[in-house]
Amino acid sequence: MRVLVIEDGSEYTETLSRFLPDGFEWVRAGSGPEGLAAVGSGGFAAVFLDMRFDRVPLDQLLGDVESTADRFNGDPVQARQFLEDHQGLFVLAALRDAGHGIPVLLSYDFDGEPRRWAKLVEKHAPVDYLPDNASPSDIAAKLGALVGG
Amino acid sequence: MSALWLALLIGTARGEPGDGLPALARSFFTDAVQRQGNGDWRGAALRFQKVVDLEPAYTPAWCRLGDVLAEDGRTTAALEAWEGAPYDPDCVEAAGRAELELARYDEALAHFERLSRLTSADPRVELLIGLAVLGRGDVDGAIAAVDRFLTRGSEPSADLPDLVEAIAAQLQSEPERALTLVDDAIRQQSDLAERLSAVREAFVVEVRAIEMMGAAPVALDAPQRRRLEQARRAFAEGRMDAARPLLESLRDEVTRSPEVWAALADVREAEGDIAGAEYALLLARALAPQRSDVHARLGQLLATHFGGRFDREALQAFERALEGNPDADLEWCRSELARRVGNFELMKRALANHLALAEGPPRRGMCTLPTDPAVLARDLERTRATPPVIPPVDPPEGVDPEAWLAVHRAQVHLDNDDDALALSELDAALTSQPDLVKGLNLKGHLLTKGGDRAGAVAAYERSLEVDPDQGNVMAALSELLRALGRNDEALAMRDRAAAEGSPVARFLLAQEAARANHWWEARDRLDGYFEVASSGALYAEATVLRDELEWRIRGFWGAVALTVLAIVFLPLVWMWRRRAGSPLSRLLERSPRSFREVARIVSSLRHEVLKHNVSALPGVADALEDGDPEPAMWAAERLYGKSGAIARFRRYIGELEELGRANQVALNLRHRDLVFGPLLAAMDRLAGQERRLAAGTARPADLRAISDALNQEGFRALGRLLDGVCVVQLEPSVFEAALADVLAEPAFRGTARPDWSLEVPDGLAVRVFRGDLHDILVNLLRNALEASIEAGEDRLGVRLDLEEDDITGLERVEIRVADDAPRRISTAMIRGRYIERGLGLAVDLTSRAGGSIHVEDEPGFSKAVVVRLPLAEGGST
Repeated sequence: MRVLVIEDGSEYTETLSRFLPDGFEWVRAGSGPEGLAAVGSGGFAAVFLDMRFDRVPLDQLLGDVESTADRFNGDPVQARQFLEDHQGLFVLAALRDAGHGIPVLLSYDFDGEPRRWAKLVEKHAPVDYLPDNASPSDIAAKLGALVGG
Repeated sequence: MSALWLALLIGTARGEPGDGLPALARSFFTDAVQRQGNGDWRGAALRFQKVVDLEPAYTPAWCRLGDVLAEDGRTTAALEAWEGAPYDPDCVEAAGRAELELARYDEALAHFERLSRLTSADPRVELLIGLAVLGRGDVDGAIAAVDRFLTRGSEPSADLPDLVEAIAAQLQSEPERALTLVDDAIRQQSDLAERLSAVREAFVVEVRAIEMMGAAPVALDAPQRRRLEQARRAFAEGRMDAARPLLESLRDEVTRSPEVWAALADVREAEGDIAGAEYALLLARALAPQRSDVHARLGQLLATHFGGRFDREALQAFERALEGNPDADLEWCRSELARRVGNFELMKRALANHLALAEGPPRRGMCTLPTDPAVLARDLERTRATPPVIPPVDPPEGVDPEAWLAVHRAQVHLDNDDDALALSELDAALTSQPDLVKGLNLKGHLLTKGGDRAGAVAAYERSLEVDPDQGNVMAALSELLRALGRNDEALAMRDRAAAEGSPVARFLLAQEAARANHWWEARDRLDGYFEVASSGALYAEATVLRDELEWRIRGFWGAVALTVLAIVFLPLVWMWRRRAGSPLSRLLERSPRSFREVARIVSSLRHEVLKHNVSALPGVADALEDGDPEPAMWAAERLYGKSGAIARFRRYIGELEELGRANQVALNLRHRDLVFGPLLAAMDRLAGQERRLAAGTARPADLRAISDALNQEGFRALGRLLDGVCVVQLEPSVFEAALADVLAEPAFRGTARPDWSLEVPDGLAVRVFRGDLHDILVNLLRNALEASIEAGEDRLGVRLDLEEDDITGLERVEIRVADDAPRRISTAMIRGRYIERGLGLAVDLTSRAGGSIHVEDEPGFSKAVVVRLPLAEGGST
């Protein structure tokens, strides 16, 4: 299975490549725009998507800082942080807006927010999540289920 | 007395030759004197005879005639010549001395008695009278004459030593009396000390020897020693009522114990019974004449309690105390007493000795008179004790008294370091009494001192053959045997000595045990020593050793007690440490503003440490089970080292603790915090896996367990912590409390509660700190209330709504605070530099909580100030 890993670092890609070398091909994209382009080029069975992107430049962040700042009394710093902290969902929305129905596995813990997750699934399926601390084998299993399902 | 001496004496006493004579007689006299000066006795005699023939009343010629006749050996003729001038003192003295030479003592005495009359009882004549009466065999008369001279005489006299020597020669059987006479003479004429030293020393030895023979002190047994110690302690503590009965009962039991008498003297003196104290000391001295402390105490008593009347006696006592016992304080007393009796030469010597010995100022009050006149007056009236009479002690049965005395003389010589004389006396004694035990023991001691160990061993062994029960002799023999390399015999002998009650042996054994750190054994042995000794050379050393042992033993038990306490208390300390300090929640309660920093650190822990590092552990475990160690080694590189995940984890924990300290909260995350406790323990376990993980030999089960603790439970717990600390349930009470606080403010005193509409749906919670939310609400309500009052309105409305972000799905709770005041502010005005209308705090706090604040229309009201805060979905479930 060829999986696109969209993350601002390389930890997931490195770990998954090391622990799940068989049956998987892990390809990294370092930002939302990169990920969109990669998915657009095709060939991926699924996307493994990180949520937090705090190591990419501002122009590589999806979402608008100025309009987001209104949520924070006009504070652009908080707005940027909001975009960074939830960048995974901005990428997911952009993928769906671009018409890509590729299964996406989010690295984030929605266990405590079932209502929110339900709405996101309603909007962006096929999508699933695993908490950040998921082990490589959990990820493999979840991806298998997501792609197979 | 020699003729030459007489001539010289007479020659120097004559006046200018021939004064007042007619010319012829003077011519003969002058010629005669010249011949006398040239030693021409016969020529001189012929011419002096001519003078007396011509001028029979000229007495100097008679005297000189007698002188030259005496020089010429014609004593009878000389006497006749001197008698020719019966009223000339010189002639009478010369005649008396000539009679002495001829041993015609009655005649001599008659001359000297006349001379005494002629010289108005010149004290020096007393000495001549003394010589005459001694010649008649009247020793007492001679001594009385010396006393008269010493009492009245101020000029030295060459006759004094002659007479003293002569009397002393007659007093061989009364050495003490002779010694007193000699000492009195020396005191009067200090230049006689050298001349009379030999005589004096002989009497000293004799007197001491006799003293020793008569002393025969009786030693205390062990229970008696204990009672004596008890009494001494009571005395030292000032409990005379306890000390006295003990000592008196001991005195009744052991009347010849110098120690008991000396201790009793202390008590009596302390109680003011000075005569009783003196009596006790005199007895102690008689029983133990060699004890310098007893002499010193007697000197002290006499020097301080009798107004100076017996200073000479006190001085003698101090001098006796100083024999063989150099002591700065005693020398000081000697100088003080010498000053008081007017002997400044002695004072000078004593002071020099004191200065050579002293390490500090002299002990005051030891020998000074009281300064209180009343006390002094009473002391001058004080009566002396009647000297005690001690029953004489005969020599041991079968021992020749002379040999016995010789042995004691030897002892005195030994005390005086005159070993040769001591040995000579001993040899004399042992020649007549070869089995005299005391003599053999002394000889053993002397030979030991002189380095003749073999001879000493022989003497001691012989002594033990005669009397096998001598512990101290065994002890001395043991030392000798050891010095001779006969160690086994030495040890056996020392054990025998200790068993026999030798204080020396018992002390040495105690000392040896102490050196080997066998403290209890040493103490037991020392107890054995104190059972048989209450004074002596080793006593002070033994006392020091006992104190040292007690200290060590107490120290040991102290250490044991401390150890026991430590064993008991260490778990308590451990428990206390576990219980001391606070969990993280305490920090958040006490310092709500620390929440953001806590959140940052906790978030970093989750994302930096746990997410990308520990999450790999199950994969490592799988690989290890598949026989692939490489992932384990890779994980080890990420986990360990200075920049590894574990080190970062610990740095973050350190940051939390530092944050606690900055807010006066001592965190105890390891033992008191339900979230961090298990995390820290699991991280410690992971740290413990370093070597095995790096070597690829870690146990997969261990790694999975650690992963579960850290990455599953720990990770979620941290998430819950983040959620929990900043989630507030929105209930009506939250808003009511804020309004109540506003109405309680001074600005609103007397203001009626506004018409208040509150719409709060169930189950909403916001992600904001409780205190912040309260401040925000108070700020909004105050502002709305002020505006309403200004506008003459009295209505407020609070309504809650939800707003959802389209992309993230995140919801925010709208808190709409509506009023009827004219809309004079806008969203822009309450943000940034336009902050006004008193909403600055609300703006700041909502921003910090990731929220926003707006001014918006509100149906039914003029406007609403709307605060949006993130919904905490978990908080509603």
